[in-house]
Amino acid sequence: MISALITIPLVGALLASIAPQNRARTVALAFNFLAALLALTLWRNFDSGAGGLQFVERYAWIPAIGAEYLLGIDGFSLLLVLLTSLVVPFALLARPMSRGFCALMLLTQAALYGTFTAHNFILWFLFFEMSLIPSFLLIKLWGGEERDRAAVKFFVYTFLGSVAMLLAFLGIYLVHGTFDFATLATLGKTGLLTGNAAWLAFAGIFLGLAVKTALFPFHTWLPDAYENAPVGATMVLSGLLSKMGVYGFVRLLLPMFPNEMQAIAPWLLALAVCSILFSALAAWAQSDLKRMVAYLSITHLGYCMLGVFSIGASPSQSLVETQAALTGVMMQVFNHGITAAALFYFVGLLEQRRGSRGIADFGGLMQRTPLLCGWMSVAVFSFLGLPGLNGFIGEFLIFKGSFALAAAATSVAVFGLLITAVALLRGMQALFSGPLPENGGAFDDLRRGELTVVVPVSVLMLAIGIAPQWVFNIFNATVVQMARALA
Amino acid sequence: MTGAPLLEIAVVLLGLTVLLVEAFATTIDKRSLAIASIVGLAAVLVATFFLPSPPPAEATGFWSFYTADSLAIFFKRFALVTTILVLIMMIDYAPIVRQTIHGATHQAGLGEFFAIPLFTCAGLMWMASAVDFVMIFVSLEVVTMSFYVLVAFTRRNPASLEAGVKYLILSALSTGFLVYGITWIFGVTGETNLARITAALSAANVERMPALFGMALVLVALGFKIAAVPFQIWVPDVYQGAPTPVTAYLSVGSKAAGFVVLLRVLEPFFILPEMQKLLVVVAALTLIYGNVAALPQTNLKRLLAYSSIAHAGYLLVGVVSLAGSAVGFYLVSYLLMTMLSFAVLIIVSAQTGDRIEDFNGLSSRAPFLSFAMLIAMASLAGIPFTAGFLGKFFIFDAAIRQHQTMLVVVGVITVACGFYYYLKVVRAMYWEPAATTGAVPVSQFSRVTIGALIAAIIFLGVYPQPVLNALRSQPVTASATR
Repeated sequence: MISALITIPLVGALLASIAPQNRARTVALAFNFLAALLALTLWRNFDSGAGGLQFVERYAWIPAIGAEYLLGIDGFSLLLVLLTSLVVPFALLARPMSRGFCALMLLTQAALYGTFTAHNFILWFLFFEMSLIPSFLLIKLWGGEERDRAAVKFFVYTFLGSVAMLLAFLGIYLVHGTFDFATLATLGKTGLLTGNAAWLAFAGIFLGLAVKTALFPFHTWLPDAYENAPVGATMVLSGLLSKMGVYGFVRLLLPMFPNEMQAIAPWLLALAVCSILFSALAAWAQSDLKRMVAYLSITHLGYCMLGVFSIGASPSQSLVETQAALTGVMMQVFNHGITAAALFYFVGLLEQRRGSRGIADFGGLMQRTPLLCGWMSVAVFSFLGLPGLNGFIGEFLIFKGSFALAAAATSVAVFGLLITAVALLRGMQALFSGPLPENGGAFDDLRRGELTVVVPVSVLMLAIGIAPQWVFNIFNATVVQMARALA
Repeated sequence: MTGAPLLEIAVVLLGLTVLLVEAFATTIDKRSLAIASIVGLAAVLVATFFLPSPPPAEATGFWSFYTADSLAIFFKRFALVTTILVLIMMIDYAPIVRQTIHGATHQAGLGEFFAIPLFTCAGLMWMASAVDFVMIFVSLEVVTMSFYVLVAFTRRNPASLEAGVKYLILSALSTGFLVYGITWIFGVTGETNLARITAALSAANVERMPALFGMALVLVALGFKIAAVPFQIWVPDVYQGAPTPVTAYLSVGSKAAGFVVLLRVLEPFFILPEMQKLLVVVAALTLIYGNVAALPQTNLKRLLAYSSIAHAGYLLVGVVSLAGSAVGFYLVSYLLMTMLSFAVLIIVSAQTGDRIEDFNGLSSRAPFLSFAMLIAMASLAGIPFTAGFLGKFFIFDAAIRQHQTMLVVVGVITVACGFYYYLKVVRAMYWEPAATTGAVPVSQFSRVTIGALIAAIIFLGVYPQPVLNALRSQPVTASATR
């Protein structure tokens, strides 16, 4: 089942790359439809009461180095698989693009499915790296003015992080002789490694994941990459690729290095807080709409990191709070994936219409394009965490959990919410109200095709905001199991 | 003993036929001879898969010098594939040979250029089967002799000539060491057969010092073949001066043959613990020298020469760690990535040159070639999911198991050096502005070959099992690892 899920986008990429230029997107969407159907089937047959891996596929791959073809889905994996199936077609619908673009998007999708379902390091790393090359090309070939620099920066940062992570895992392998995540997590309870070796390995893995999640101070690639990537690629980068890092933190670092996490938790929490506050402040100062949303993305990923590190700080203190924080992290991952993609979608629409995306280039949109403003506000308010929309749930749960586990850091981090709100509302005010700019040409409201994309996504945001229980049900059992394993 | 020896006989007959045809049919396009040789070698390669299972090696008697175990068959295939690839490169290189040889017709000399590698190939195949010092010596000489001719083949080119003379003198010297070493070992044990030498050395009353002396001399000769420090002095000059396909052949074929022999002699040699210590030192020095000396190189051919020394170092780590299959896999990955980089080098340097700066901006002029070079360099540097990565991984894994911590530490540091100088080439191709414009023409044949090499590097990087299976259950490793 899972292999098929990974294979479908791969086949799609192949077909999209040889399809006629104007049909490529249709082909890509058709294969996304198939993948989504399969993902829904997985969800339907998924036993949400069980916390462990399901639909396991396990084959020998390279026995000599302990590499196994091991795929499986637990609640967290399923959540991210569903998110991937949702965001990629959304990103493909953002703008009609050439066949190369579609093929690379599908390649990224396959890599994402693989990353979220592989449970052996070698296989996981294969997919992890596989996502890097298509996204590099997406930025380099279809990006904005500074695409070369942004693509190289993105590549070098993430590649160096990956090398560090690989070396760390090779070190662990040479000591323990296994790449299996479950085995390593079990070994992690009593300390995977000792002394300096443990710290080196921890640092290597931490670096790899921190770069991917754009944790302060490893975040500087992100604004450039997001700003210069074509809008569809930005949606996938922010909605999905950054989640690979969070996924890695929860799946690898928390269970494998609990002692190390706990020992330097104050510093890690400080990094998360810096990530939240500084990037929120930076967003406030931006004059470019896309760059502003990019910085706000770092803030939101910072909330996830706050949750993860607060669990690491005192895992055994309270099972309930750990569960709340973990639930919050997963919820935030899901919500931010949808909301960030939606917001970038709207930014893309505005850019397409005006030909620029400086905040000062717009104004008075409310008069001309009420539909666009209305639906965009849903995404904006979700992004700043208004109760009743999906963004609120995750942030609330993270703060609830992390306040009990790490009160000081959380108290400071809460100000991030305020700054985010100020930055976003300031931007929206400049966009929606005020006078029309002098050079403002004809400006269409949302077209029917765009509405059919926007409305379902907004409804979904509202649905999660009002009744989030169905999302919780996906990963609840997994959270309980994870929290117990960490305690 | 039937079956396996027929392979070498077939290759030699093929070589003789090509020579005769080239002598009498003066009007044909000589490149058709290369095609014929490739087809013939491919047929022999196919035949290796249909050999009757070999009888157990004879301890005494006529065939005791020859073995057809899985290691031998594996390296026979290795030699055949290498030679086929070299011949394909030679077709691309033919115009340059023509420029430097002034003969009666514009095709003078080309026929020999295509025929001699066939004899080298036969020598390499014999070497893979040699389990007797006399056989090792004879087959090594067959290979070396043919290389004398090949290295100096573009004889109007002073660099090639210089390379030829250097190779001739130093190679003859190393042959002297080999024979002298063999006589010492023979003097101690009274045997030339490796298995019987092992038995003789295991006896309690054997004189160790003379045996050690003889082995050290043999090691000198083998060190010359595999370009191990301190016997690597000839490598950069010869590699740079020789015609590029011959350089590729030297760095892959000659080196692989040296390692097969080294694996074969390990069993008798490692009875004396001093030999292992000696090899550890040689391996560490080779790693450090090859990688550090490669750092400042500006000529790609010379860079590849130093990188070939560096890879000899990694291979020696595998040899010291008694990991026959790791060495075998590494050699296969080395074959693929070295051939790929030389294939691209030949095509590009025919238009511009072989300095690294001649590759500036290649990505805009020849995207396919620069992608191929990218894969080759990535694999040589050891980036994951290329064959080169797994090769290094298997070697280091084996070294850790044998508690060769010092070698692993040196190895990891030198891998970092490798990243720098291999990625220098990538940087030139993708980030530097192009000095000249215009596409680089690639023949269809080369395009297919390069594509196949890229595919093989990535395939083995993700799924190395076919090669590992072919290397499994071989007597040398089985007995050596225990």
